[in-house]
Amino acid sequence: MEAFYLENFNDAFGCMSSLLEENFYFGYKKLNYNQRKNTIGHKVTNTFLDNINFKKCPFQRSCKRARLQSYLFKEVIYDIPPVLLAEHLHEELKAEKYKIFFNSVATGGALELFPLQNKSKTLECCLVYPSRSAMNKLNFHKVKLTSCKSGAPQLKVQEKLALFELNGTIRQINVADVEDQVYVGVRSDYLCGAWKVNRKQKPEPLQTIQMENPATCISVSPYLPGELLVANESGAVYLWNLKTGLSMIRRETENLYFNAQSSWRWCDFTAHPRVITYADRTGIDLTDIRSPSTQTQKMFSIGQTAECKKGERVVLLKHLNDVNAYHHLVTSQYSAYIMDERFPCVPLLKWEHMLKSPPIFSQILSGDSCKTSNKILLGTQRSQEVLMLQYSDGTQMAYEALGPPLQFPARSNCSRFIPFLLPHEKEVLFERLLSPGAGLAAIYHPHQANVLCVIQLAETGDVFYQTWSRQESSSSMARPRGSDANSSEKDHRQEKEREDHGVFVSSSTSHGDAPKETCTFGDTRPINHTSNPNQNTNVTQRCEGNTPLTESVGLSKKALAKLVKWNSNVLQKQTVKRQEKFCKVKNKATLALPKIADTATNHSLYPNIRQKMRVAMEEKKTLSTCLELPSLEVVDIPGHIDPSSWKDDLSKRLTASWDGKWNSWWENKLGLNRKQKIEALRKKRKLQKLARGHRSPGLSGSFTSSVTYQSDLTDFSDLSGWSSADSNFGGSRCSSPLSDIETDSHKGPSTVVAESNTDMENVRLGEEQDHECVPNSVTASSVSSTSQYSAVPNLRQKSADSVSAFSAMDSLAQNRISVLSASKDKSSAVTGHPSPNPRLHSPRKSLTQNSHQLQKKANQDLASLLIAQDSTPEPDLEDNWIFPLASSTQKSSQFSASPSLLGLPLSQGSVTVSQPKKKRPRMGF
Amino acid sequence: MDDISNEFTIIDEGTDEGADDSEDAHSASSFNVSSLRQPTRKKRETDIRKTTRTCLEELHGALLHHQWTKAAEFMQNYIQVLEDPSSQQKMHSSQRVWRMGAEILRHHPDATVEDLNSFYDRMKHLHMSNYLKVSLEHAFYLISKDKIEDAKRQLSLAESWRYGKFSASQEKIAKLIQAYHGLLDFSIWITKRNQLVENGSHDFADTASNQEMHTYFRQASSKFHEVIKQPGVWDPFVLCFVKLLEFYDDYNGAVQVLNNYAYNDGFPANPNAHIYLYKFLKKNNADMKKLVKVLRVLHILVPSHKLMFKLCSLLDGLDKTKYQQESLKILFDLLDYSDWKNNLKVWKRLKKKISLLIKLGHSEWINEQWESRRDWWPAFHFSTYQAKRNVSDNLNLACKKATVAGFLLSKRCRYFKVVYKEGMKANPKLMKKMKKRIEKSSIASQS
Repeated sequence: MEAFYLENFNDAFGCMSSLLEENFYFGYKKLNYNQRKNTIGHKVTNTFLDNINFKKCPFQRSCKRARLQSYLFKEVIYDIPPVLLAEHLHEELKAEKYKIFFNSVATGGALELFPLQNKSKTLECCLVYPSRSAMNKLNFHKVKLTSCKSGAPQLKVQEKLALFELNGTIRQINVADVEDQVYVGVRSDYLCGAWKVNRKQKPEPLQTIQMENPATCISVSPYLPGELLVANESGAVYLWNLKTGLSMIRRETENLYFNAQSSWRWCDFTAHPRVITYADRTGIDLTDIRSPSTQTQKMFSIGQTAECKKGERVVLLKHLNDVNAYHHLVTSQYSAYIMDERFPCVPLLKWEHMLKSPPIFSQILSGDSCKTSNKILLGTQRSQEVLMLQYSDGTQMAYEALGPPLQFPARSNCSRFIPFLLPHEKEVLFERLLSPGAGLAAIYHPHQANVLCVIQLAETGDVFYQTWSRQESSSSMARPRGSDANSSEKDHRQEKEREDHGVFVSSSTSHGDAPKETCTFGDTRPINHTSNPNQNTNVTQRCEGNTPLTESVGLSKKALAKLVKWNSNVLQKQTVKRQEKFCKVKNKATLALPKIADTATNHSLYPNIRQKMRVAMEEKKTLSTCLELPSLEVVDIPGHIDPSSWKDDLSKRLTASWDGKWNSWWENKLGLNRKQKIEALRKKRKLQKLARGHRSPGLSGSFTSSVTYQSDLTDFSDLSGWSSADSNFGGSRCSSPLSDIETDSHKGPSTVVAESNTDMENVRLGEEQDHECVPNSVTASSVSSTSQYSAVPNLRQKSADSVSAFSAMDSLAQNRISVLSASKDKSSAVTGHPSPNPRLHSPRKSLTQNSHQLQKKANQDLASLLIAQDSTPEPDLEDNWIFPLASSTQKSSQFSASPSLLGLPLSQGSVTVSQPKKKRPRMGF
Repeated sequence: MDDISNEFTIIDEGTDEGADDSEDAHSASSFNVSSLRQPTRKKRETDIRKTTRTCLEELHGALLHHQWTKAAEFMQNYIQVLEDPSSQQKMHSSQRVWRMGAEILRHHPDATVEDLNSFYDRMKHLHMSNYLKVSLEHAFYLISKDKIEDAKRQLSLAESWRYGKFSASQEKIAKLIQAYHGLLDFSIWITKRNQLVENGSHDFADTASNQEMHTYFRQASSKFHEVIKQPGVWDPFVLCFVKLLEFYDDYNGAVQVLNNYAYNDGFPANPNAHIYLYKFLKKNNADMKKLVKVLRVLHILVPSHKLMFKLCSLLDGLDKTKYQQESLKILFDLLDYSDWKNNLKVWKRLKKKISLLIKLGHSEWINEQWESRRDWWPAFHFSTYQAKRNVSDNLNLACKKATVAGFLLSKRCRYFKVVYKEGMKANPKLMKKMKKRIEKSSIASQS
């Protein structure tokens, strides 16, 4: 969703922002009063944006307005409710993912080849294919098969007959030859068009239709001129007569035989011009155009046709008009069937085609007579495979499959011949060569029956061709039953077709230059199957001529030159494209150091330290040697002032007012409170008398006093808790960057003591020192340690841990930890409460006050931890006491960190601590 | 969204044709599109599976490129897949090894029949569920090598093989084995019979060899009898069975078999069955009405069959007037199909029929047929292009067609005009005669 909002912000918010646009002003002039009522200037917006600090869009476009507004409203004001949008987005992504594996839209293929002059066995053919990156230009191109005796036949490109630009990606091209004219049906998603190619004249467009639902199939009638069938995703099949227009034949909203949840429909003609086949994923029906509701007959259905597998689906249906008008080719993802429409549901032939993805392109080559077999070429989309299946001409004998399936080498194979490429170029080339197929066509050489030309179209608009010639060589194989085995030959030559004189899409056009290549292999032709005279079945498998394809593929010099030229063309375009593709991402904002709180920046110490750290990093030295931390000024405690030495009135008054007793001093002075004093004296005396009389409440008085004391104590401890955490922070701020740098420069010489998680975090954060992260990590470490140890020793352990976390990666760390823990032992023996004396606290407090808020969370964490351990906070306080001092010593002593240095501040601390120390036993009460 | 993308799998190996439905759908090594989404299985993949899978991919490529020697090398390594302990794997891998191994051995330049025999023998015992299939394939191989006796032995072994309860698919294979066993018996019987015929001994009752021949007959016929009871397409077996019965003069038995095969509702609609029945009846000089009855059923199934022309003449032969309407329909139906488009005989007969019916005053019958064809026959049959081509190819045909066109569309139609114009150069006499006839009677002008 986030990505969608970022990339398609105009879709998501465009509508709302344009509605609100009038309320925003992006100019620099001042607004007049009327406008100001309901309009916000862009400066306000900008400051607002800065304040809320939203994530900036990395894709900066020219439409600043929409972007700004999109940001402003982000997910608050949207055109499509997010739930709905998410649902659709999810659905779409899923569909896209499936499309990567199999895109049924391309079924049928967008490449056709037909001879330009009928009967005369012409060498000239017309190739119809789409070009451009959008595949929206329909090309009619004249090509000629030349036969040279020395080498393999080549496909020569001649002039372009016509070029039409369409309003959609061309998905399928279907061609039928009716009465000396060729009708071409073209299908794109919502548009279908018909062209006519008169063999002498240029192609002319006839009609186009637009559909509401995406069209899935178009087929041109081989019987009646100007008749086409169109199927679309709504399940309807239309008869499209160029004279009378569209008429619906059949409409099925559901799938034919079971619910396959598929809207793919297909249709084709049969031997009867008024009967059509209607297919979906589940099966095929024969439907009579004249009375579609009554005259339907099942021809093929998944589950009822013999040996259909579970999950098998119809992928392609093709009327084999050239071979036998009653035959249809049906392919599924597993098998290829030949069905006879007169004998429904029983396949005439069946192959397992073994293709990696479902075959959605096919081409039928009928054998001339009994001499050659009928050949079926199956092409796949993703895996670029082209497979040839052969079956006998069933004029004398029953139909039978001949020989094992033969796979043609994929077009990506030709990358082997490109001599030298840099890795990234190779990648580009492979990407191009491995692009999915979009069409398949094949043709026999009209004069040489054993030459087959296979043309493939890739989705990128490249057209490749291979010519295959069968060459008899007696040496290769002796068939057991005396057949003259055809065998292979390995004169593989790949030829790239001329693309000079701009015949194929010139290199100036964006994409789809159409290089061609030939590859000549041995062709297979089955000869004399060894049949048993008594065997009437078609089950026996016979050995046919076969073609071992060897890997020794060679490339002629000319072909290689073409290939290299094409390759460099591709690469050049790719680099241009790449440059355009990448947008600039501004990373200033994301990678900049976050603003440090005022105190930190103002403090001259920090820039200095940072610079030194940088130097240390560059020189890869330890910080201890190169970092000279200036010593903190030790503020002397002012000497005790005795106000009693000053006897004069003014001094007395000032002393009283300093203490806040200015009022009472005046009252005393002026004698205004004389009566009150006398009364108070009297009361006192009375009480003394009463006390003498009863003498009981002495003990209770002591009790109350102790109670008040304790409450005071908790107050103080709270206060000190704050300050100690602050000081903790102050120390950590100094030490943790140091530790980072230490790890970086030292590469962690085994000193990573306990808290691997903290140092990990620090390292990850790198230069971007975040204020919060360190204390957080401290708490994390302490949590982890507390979970490991039991309550009381744990505390000590924890403090050691946290110390080690802060000063961690110093090579001296271990040493120091031991020192610290030793000192702690001492201090824990003393178990001092922090002094309630505010004077001692105040300087430290003022230093760290600003970071209070940042620290709050950490403190809370600590506090909760403490509560969980032991309701008394003092052990924690103790190390808090120690730590800031330790850190200050770090600063002053340049990390010499000797026990004596540590001991000194500790002793200072112990002075302050001494008072509560005495009181400690009283807490036992 | 098409659910089809979920279903696409790779079948890793070549001739995998007859595997059980459920088996293949769950084939572990065929990888689904969906498995790409969940790469968990690959993670769990053990080393042996990984190597065998890679080997299988290579093997697959080699097979498809007909590199048999290379494939054989891969096969040697792939055999290790049989070591995989998982039982599900074992079944599939054994099937794969069998299929690919057989394919390789059949095409490998150095492989001999003995190699294949021993290979099949081993494969039979790899996995019990494959036993019958392997046996059948082995038998086919032996038959293709003309070793009928060996094949027969294999089939009889397989027929007597029992291992637990048969599954549905095994049941089918068992039936096929029985059928082919019968077929082999039949082939032996027919060679023996031919030998006897050649030897000139027409007394089939006496000699020992005759006895042997009769036993083969009994075996074959009992097996055929069993098999043909099952619904299905048994064309070659039925023909053989009929031949057997015919030889022993069991005419009624043969008719019963053929009738059952053609008319039993349990069997799939099989046009061949009717053709066989018709041919058998015709051969035995059956009644015309019976023949017509058979062909009428065939007409419903396949209106374009060439026997329909025969039916037409049969109907005309039965009664000159009674069946005119029916035979007219049959002729029109025939001409609907593109392969009868330029058949002189049919056009000639149609021309005759139409003129006869007009003469008899039954032009409404013609109209009835014409009504459904009015919108597309002119473009299909009577276009200008067709006229020109017909005239240049076969003037006689063009003339017949033009007459029919004239009857149906009046003489003003394009086809007639073109043929008339072109024909006047070649044969003006014929053209004038034709025109006269049309002017006399045309349903188009009447209506």
